[in-house]
Amino acid sequence: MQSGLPENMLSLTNVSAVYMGSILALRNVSLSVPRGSMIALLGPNGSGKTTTLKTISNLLSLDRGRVTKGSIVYEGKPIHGASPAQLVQNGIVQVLEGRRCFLGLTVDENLAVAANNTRNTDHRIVSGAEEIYAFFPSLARQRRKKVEMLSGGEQQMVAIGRALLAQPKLLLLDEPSMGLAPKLVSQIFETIRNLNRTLGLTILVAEQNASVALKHSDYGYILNNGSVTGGGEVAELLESEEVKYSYLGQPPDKAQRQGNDLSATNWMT
Amino acid sequence: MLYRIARRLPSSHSDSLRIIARKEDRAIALVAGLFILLVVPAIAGDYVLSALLIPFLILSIAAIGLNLVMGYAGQASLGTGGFMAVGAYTSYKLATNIPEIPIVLDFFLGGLAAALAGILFGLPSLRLKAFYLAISTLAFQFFAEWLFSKVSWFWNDNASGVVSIPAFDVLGITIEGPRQSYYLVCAIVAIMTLAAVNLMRSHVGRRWMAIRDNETAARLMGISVPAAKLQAFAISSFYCGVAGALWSFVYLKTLGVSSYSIDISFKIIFMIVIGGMGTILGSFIGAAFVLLMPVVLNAVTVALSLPIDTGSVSSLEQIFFGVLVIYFVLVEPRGIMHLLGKLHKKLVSWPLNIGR
Amino acid sequence: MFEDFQFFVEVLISGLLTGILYSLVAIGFVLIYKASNVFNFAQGAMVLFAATTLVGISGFGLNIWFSALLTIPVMALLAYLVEILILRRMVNSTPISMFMATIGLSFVLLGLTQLIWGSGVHLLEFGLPSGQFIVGDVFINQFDLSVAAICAILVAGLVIFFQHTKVGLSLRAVAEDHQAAVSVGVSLSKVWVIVWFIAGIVCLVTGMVWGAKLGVQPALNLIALKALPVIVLGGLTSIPGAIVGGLIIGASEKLFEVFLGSAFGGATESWVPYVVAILFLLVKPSGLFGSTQIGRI
Repeated sequence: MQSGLPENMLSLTNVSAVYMGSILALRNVSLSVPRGSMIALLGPNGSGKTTTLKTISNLLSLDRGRVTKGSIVYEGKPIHGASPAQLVQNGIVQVLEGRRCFLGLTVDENLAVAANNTRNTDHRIVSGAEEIYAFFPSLARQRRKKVEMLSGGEQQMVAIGRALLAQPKLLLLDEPSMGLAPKLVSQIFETIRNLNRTLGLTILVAEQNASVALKHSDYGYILNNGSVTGGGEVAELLESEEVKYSYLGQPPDKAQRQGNDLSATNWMT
Repeated sequence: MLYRIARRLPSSHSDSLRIIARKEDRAIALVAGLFILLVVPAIAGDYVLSALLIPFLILSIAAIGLNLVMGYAGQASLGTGGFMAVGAYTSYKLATNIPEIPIVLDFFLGGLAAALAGILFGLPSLRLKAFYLAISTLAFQFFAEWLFSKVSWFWNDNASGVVSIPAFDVLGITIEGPRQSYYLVCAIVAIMTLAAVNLMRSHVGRRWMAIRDNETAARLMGISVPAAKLQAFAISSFYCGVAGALWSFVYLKTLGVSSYSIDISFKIIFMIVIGGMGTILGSFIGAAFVLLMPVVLNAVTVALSLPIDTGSVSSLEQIFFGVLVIYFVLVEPRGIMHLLGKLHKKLVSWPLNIGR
Repeated sequence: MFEDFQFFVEVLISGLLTGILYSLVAIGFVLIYKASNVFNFAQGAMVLFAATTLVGISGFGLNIWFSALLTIPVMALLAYLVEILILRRMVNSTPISMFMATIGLSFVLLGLTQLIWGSGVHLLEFGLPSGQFIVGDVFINQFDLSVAAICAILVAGLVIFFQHTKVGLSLRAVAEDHQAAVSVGVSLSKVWVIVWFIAGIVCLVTGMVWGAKLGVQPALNLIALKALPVIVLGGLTSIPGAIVGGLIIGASEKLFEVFLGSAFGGATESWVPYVVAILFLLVKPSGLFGSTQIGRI
């Protein structure tokens, strides 16, 4: 670990966020992302996973949302109110939910958009598009094709490759599994974990598929109705009844069924 | 502020159907009504009546009309001036060629003709949305301007394109002075406002609002979207048509196509944007605001004896309205009505909210 | 019969060439719509603003080309102001409120133009040829033909800019998906300023050409509004659509006016383009080259 930098690359303290000035989407969310780790953010639809990521990357501002209280500290400095483009230059890059590739542009052009707009030179993690093609050989064969011609999995690769070319220190991934076949999902997660290990990239991934996400992460947080309701080492989480019941599809003990955990998760039923 | 409003819910069905829920408010409305009918015409001079109040009331009808289709049903329309022209020319043709028909009925028949035009040009709204629809109503605007400037049949083949309106009487009273005109317009405005308010409280209004807020959801709930949209266009155009007829017959006393140009369409759009989209009262507030602003601006330049010629004043006015519209769209999209609502809330809890 | 046909061809050609003028405005329109999703009603006002500013500057006794050069920073300033005062506050607003805001903008621009430069008709002359020449038996106006050439150069320039420069690529990315573009470091503000600036330049060129043809006068605003049916016909997002749409609108309004208009009292150009566009839309709602948009529930 480099000296002089805090151990936590990112920490959120009591962050609340609203949409349209009034719709509360996050309530007192606190979480920390240690340098070099891969963190999973679990939770059902509407629990605030996407909002949490967009709060960090401040893409929230494009959705008419804003942070109402709390602090977000990145690399020891508060980043509240910085423009999304500025945050990308500082190394916070998000892969949006649903991939969101530039469908009418070719694979090459998709990657070039990111490469062209990244000015920082101090933390380059990939040298250029060729390195991305080395990661994802199937993209290399189709580099002059329009992205709309590519399959869902390949589009996800383009989205991740594009994000890497923005030279992130902290990569935010929103539901990389969305709409992909189970086999592809684990492949994508293996790739992501691989990026985390080989490039030393810190990753925060929001995911509904808890079993895959936990399998490949160091640490997990659980979001419910806009608040963090649980968190811990992956091994602990895999053993916790709440996660087992709500996310892994395992029936809880009878005793647990009457417990408090269930009331917090009755959105599932 | 004046009386207690907390925990006063309607206790019977007929209570909940009232337009004005609280009896104190009803008393205020009654006093205001009497003031408008008795005091205003007594104290207001001829100038205030004929140059401010009458055009204000007439354009309020048009603003309500546009608000119905744009604020409630969510269908953009740039053709208000055109619909007003249809109303005006139809009334003129009827009044001059079939004098047996009472003149007020002519106004409403003019509105009916405008409603037909509204249905015809609302048809594209079944296939088109947002801008496309705005363009198609713009088409109607330009078509109407052309039609009423080229086809002299509409103004009885007079040599001049601007014809004067013959004197007319209502219920045996000849409408000549500003006071008679004022009462006539007041009566029509009252009827049409009441109708609009009630219509928007009924299933018709709720249907329109459902379509405005989410067309697909509305369709899935079993609302016939095409029928409701055409209905909105028809009723809206009816209001605009009546307003157009009154504009010529009562206010201008002449009929010429230039009084129904695209400028008036914009003026009325500004009224509802500034007053408040989707509120009937907002139409009145917006109309008053848009009409009074130039008067105030003029008065200010005169009072300060600024060395500005009239051309520059009108340019300034244009800039001013542009800035206002941008401001309201960006900062206060629900218009002055929303501002008033906020003010009211503050006043109600005053002085407990001081410092908050 | 042959005479008739020859006349028809002449009318058609003059209509097509007028249509190119509409295409010019429409191109600026499409640029703005693609990049910032704003249906810019103020396009006509921008044309008038650019042309009047140019004439006003040359009124100080400057060469016309030099004045045009000086107008360019004015258009840049306009783009910058539009971005900081309107666009950045309107991210994700409904299309209709954006549209309303541009109506407001057009009022501001028209008012400013008249306030600063007055509302008279100014002549603008920058040396476009005005003679006619004959191909076969058909007269062709040299002026209109040079306009077509200017349009071609402009479009070629835009294509090169968008397809072969880094900034152009960023603009295309924003047009595809602005949030995704931001997520990889594209600055929306910068892109919007650039697009509105380019549209401003297109407006300047349009204003010069039209000013040379009709004189610079407030009525230009209304004529420029005909870009609306043009882009509606061509599809909101397509530059080829804007060009073909302009040609169709130009030709159809001229043909209608010459062969049918007199029976209706003439001056039908004020509404025929709109009706043509709407009738076309009823058949194909996305326009000639427009992408079919999938509405989200």
